[in-house]
Amino acid sequence: MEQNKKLIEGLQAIVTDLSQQADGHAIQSRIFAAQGFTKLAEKYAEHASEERGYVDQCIDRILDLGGEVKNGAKAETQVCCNPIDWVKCDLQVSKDGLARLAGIVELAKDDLTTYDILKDYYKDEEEDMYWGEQQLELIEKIGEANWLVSLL
Amino acid sequence: MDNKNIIACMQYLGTWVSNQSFNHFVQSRIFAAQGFTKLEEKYAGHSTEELDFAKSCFDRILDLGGEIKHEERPCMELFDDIEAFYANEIKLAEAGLSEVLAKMPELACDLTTYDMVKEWYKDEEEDCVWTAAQLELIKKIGRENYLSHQM
Repeated sequence: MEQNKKLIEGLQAIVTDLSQQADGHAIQSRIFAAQGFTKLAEKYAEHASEERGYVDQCIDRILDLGGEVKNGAKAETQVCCNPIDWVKCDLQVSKDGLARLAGIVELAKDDLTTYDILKDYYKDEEEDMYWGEQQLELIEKIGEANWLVSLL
Repeated sequence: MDNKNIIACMQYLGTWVSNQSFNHFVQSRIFAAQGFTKLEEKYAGHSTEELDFAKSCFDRILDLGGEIKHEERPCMELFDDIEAFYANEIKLAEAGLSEVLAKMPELACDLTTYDMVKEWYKDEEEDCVWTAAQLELIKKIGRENYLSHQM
């Protein structure tokens, strides 16, 4: 079925991109831990773990749908030593990712199980995007130094 | 102490092992879908250990004042067939171990890093020996008997 093939391709794209993103968040968490920004380190460690959970679900779904899962090539991604630069960078990644994800969710409209998996991931990613926006607004209100202190 | 070489080695290992970790994670899902629960659990556990080691490598880079890169990763093969999977595991492990062994002299001046990599090397070598033993077992008892023990 053509629709199934496209959906499997969409799920595979999530597996490849999100697994790289999870590793990127894990690396970022270590950087923040080394800098003493404990709350930021914990946030991104947890985020990496959640993302791996969604990757797991997508892999299982590909297999359930009779597809073959691939461990595809992954591009290098940016690493930031400055937490504020990181929040800006991650916010843009979220926005770009959500736009792509919306297209894949659309493909799953006739497959309720896949739809539910993707919907939950979409909602989580959207919440992360709002958190990023909120942090940037907070920085404008209280200043960079105060914001950084709040992350210790 | 030439930190630059040590940091480069940690980056190489961090990237390689985290890629291996993800591959084992995906492979574990394939075994789960096939009903081979013991293989699923083994490789899920292995993936977690590898991720922890990658984390140690990245932490060590930061301790040494280096910058971590989130490098590109090549695609890696996944398998439906257990014997093909084991053969590939041995091939990858031997290549990786030989590469790491060649780098060990450069790490000798940094006791902490040397110890960390030595422990990983010993674990990885043990895994390689285990995998070779599985292939021998399959030859002795047959594929079907072996696989029925993995459920």
